[in-house]
Amino acid sequence: MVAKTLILIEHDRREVKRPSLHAVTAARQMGDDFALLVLGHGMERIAQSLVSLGAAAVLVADDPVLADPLADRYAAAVAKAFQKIGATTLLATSSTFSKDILPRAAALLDAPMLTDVLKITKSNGASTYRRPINAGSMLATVELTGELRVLTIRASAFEAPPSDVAACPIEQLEIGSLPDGARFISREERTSDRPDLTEARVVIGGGRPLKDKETFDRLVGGLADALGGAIGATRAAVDTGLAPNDYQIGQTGKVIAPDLYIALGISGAIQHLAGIKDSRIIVAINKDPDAPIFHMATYGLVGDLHQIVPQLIELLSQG
Amino acid sequence: MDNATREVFGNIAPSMQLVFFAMILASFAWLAWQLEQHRRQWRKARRPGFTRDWRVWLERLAIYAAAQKRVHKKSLGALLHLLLFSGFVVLTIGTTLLAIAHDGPYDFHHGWYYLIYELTMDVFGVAFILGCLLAIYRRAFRKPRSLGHNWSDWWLLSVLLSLGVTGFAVEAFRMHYTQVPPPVAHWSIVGWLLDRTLLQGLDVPTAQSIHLAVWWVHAILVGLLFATLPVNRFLHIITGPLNIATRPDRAMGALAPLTIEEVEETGRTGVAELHDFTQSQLLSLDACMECGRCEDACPATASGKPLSPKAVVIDLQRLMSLGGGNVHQTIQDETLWACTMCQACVQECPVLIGHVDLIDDMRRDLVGEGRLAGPPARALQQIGNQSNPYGRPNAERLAWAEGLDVPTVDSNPEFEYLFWVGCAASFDPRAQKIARSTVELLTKAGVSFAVLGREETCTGDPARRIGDEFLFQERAQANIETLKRRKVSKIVTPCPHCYNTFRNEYPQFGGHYEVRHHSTLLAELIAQKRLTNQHKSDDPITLHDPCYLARVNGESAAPREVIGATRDKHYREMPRCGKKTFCCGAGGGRMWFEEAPEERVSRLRAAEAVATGAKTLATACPFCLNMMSDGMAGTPGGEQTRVLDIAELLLERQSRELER
Repeated sequence: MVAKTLILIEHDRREVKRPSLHAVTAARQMGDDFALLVLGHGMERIAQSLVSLGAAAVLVADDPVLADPLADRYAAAVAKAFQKIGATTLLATSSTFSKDILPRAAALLDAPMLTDVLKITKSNGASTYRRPINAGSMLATVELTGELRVLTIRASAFEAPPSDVAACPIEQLEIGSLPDGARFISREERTSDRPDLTEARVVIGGGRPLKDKETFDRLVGGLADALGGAIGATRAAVDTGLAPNDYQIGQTGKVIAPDLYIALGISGAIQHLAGIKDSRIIVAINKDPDAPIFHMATYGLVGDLHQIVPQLIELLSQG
Repeated sequence: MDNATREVFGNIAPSMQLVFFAMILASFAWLAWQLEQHRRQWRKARRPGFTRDWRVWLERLAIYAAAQKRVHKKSLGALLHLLLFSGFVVLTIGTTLLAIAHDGPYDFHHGWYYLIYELTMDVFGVAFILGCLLAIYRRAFRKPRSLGHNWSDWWLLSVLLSLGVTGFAVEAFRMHYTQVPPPVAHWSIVGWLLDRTLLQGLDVPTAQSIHLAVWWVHAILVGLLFATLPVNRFLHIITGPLNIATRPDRAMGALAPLTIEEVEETGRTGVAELHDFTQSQLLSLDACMECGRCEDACPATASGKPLSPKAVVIDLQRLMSLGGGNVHQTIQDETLWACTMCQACVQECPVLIGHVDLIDDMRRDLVGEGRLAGPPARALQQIGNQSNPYGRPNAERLAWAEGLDVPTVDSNPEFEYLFWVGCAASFDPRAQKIARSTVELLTKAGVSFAVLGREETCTGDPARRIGDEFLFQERAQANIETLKRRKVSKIVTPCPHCYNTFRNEYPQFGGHYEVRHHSTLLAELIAQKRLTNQHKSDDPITLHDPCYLARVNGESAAPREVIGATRDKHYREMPRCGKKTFCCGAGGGRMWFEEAPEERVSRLRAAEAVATGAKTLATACPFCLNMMSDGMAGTPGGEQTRVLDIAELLLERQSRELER
C-alpha cells in the first residue's frame, strides 16, 4: 500500500498510549492518506485496537529484536517503513519516546523536523505549522521547504480521534537487518492502575493540610480514581510523609501539563506553580481565601477540603 | 629612685652573648626562609589582586590588627586571645625598648621610666600566662568542635606558657642574686613575690647559676618559637596582618568580575587549579589560624550540609602546602553548591578572609564545565531565555499590578524614582503583595515613581552567585542600557539582592545609581510624616533581617523604623539580628536547589523565630518571605504565625489609622 503520512504509535507493550493517537487527528486535518506504524513484539492485540481510526492500513513490525524501544533500531525500522509506503510526512505525538526516535529517523531520511506542533494550516497547497519557542513564551509560524517532513504534535493541541471507521487491514512489515549498537539492560516501572503523572490528562494534587497518609490516599486518591487521573503532591506533603517522592510536582519535582489540575489544600508557592503552570485548567480548593494559588486557578473554591472532597467524590461516582 | 635600673646581660659573659645572638639570628633566618617558601606559593598565581593604597593598609591595621575589632565578643576565646595578644605585644615592645636602650646611643632605661616599665612588663606577663592557661583549659576541657586539634597546637601552647613562666623565673633569680632592694624591687612585683616566697634562703652563687640555666632555656625557647612559627597557628601573627592590610578593597556584596582576557589566558572560567586564584587569595589561605568562627556562623554547617567555610580554607591551605593542584579533587561539588553566600563567615573572620569569593570562583569553573544540573541549571536557562529565573513570560511582568493604577515609565516619564520590582515580587504570587503594598504606600505618600514593566529583566544576581558570570554580565549590560535609555538615576526596590547588585556591582559595568531599599525610603517617608506608623501590634512581633540588607549593606535600622519596633512593647528581637542575622537559606542561588527536609536552613531560623513567641514575623525580602513562610508552616509552634513584608504591615497600619 501507499500512503502520504506515516504515524508512529506509542504503546507500553500492553496497550496503546492514548495521547499518541492524537496524531491521527492531525493527519486527518492534513487531509492525505495515512498509515499507522506499530513496532514491538507480540503486537496482535495492539494492532487490532487501531483498525477503526481511518487509516489506510496498520503496519506492524513484530519481531523479538524490537521488543524494547532502542532508538537506533526503531529509527531504522521507521525509515524503512516510511520509504516502503512512499510517504512524505512522518508524524507522532510529542513524547520522550518520539523525541528519542524521530530525530534519528529524520536524519536517516534527510528530512527536516519540527516538534511540538500546535496547529497545521494549509493555504495555496503549502502548509504552515504553529509551534512554541523560547520555552513557550512565543509562538512561531514555520514553513518547511522540500518534499519530506518529520513532525511531532502536542497532544493537548489536537483532540482524541473517534474510532468509528470501518476496519482497515493490518499489514506485517519485513524489517530486514537493523543496527544493534545499543543493548537493552533493564526497565524500572511503577506499576499502577493510575495513569503516569507526567502524561495524565487529569491530575489531583494534595498539600500539607491532608494531615496523614491515610487521609491523603482517601481524598486525593479517591478523587483521582473518580476522574481517572493521576496523583501528585507538593514538596511539603512529601516532606511530612503524606506521599512518596515521585509524586512531587514542582521546581524540584515533576513538571506537568495536564488538561485539568485540581489542587487540594495547596497554597500556591511559586516552586509548586513552576510545575503546574502549563496546565490547561486549574481548580483550587483551599480554606484560605488569600492563598496565592487562587491567582493562577481558573476556578477556585474557598472551603474545607475535608468536607468538600468526599462530597465531590460521591457526586462524580454517581454521574 | 632616679637611679633605679638593672644590669642587662649581667650574668651573661660576652662570648655567651655572641652565641645568643647567633642563635637568634639563625632562628630568624630559618623563619625567613620558610616564609619565603610560602611567598613563592602565593607568587605562582598570575594575578596579584592586592590593595595598593598604604592609607587603606594603615587604617585596616589600626582597626583590625591593633584594636582587634573582629575578635571582641562575649566568649572565652575572645578573652584569652585578648590576654595573649596584649601580653605578647607589650612584652615584645618591652624587649625591643630594652635592646634599644642597651645597644643604642642613649641609655634611657632607668629612673621612673624603668620602674613603670618593670611594673607594666610584670602585669602583662601575668596576663600572658593567664591567657595561656585559659587556652589550655579551653582546648583540653571545653573542646569546641570548630577549633580543630593538631599536635602543633599543644607545641605552641607549651612553648608560650614556658616562655611566660621562665620569663618570671629569670626575673626572680636575677632579683635574688643582684639583691635588688625595696622599694625598687616592689615595682617588679611578680619577681619580687616569687623571690620572697620561693627563693628565700637560696645563696647567691646558686641563684646565679640557676639564673643562667633558666635564662638559656628562655633564650632557646624564643629561638624555637620563631623557628617553628610557620608550622603552627602562630603563623597568623605575620600572615594575618598582611592579609588584613592588603586584601582587595571591594564592598562585601560585590563579587569580582571575570574578563574575557582572563578566560582566554586560562581557557577556563573561574578556578580549577589552585594557582588560578589571585596571589591575595593564596595569602589569605595562609592567614587562617583555624579559629572556627566562620564555621560557627555558617548556616550550611548548622543545617548539616557538607560545607564548612573553615574546612574550605584549610583544605585549600593544605593543597597549597603540597605545591598546588586541582581544587575540585580536594573540594567536592556539593560543598560548593551548599553555600548561600550569606557572608556570615566573611563578617566573622578576624583576618578578613573572603570565603565567599573563593567559593564563587570555584563555582564559576563548575558552571563553565557544565557540572551544574537540575533546577538551578533550568533557572539559569530561564534567565537567559525568558529574562527571569521562574520561566514566566516576561510579557507578564505587570500581572501583579492588575487592578492597581501603577505609573509606568511611559505614562509618567518625569518620574523621580524607578520602582524596580524584581523577579520574585513580579512573579511569585506570595511576593506580589509586596509590590502592590509598596505601590499603594508610595502613591499615598505622593512619591513620584514609575515601573519599567516589560522592560524590566532579571538583574542577573542569581546567575552571578551560582557562577554563570557571563550570563550575569549579559543581563547587567542589557539592564544598564535600558536604565540609561529611560534616564534613571534613582532606584527603589523591595529586594535586597537587586539592591545589592545595583549598588555594589552594576558600577563595575558603568551603571551608577542612587539606590534605596524600600525600607529606607519608607522610613524616610515616615520621618517626613508622609506615612504613618503609629499603630502598634496587638501580638508579639519580631523581624528577620535579610542577609543582603543587614549584614552585607549595613541597613537594619530602617526596617525597624518602618514597623515601629522601638516604640512597640510587643516587639521582640531574635538573638541573631542585625549584622549577625541568620540566613533564610535562599541566597547564593539556593532558592533553586533541592534540599532534603532535615537539611533546610529555613527550619533553623524558623525555630529561632518561634522561640521568641512572636505571632507575627516581619521580613524585608521576597526570598526571605518565601522561605520563612514555608519554614514557619513546617515548624511546631509556627503554623499560626503571620509572615509578611514590612510594606504589607505598614500598609495595614495606614488603613487602621483611618479607622480610628
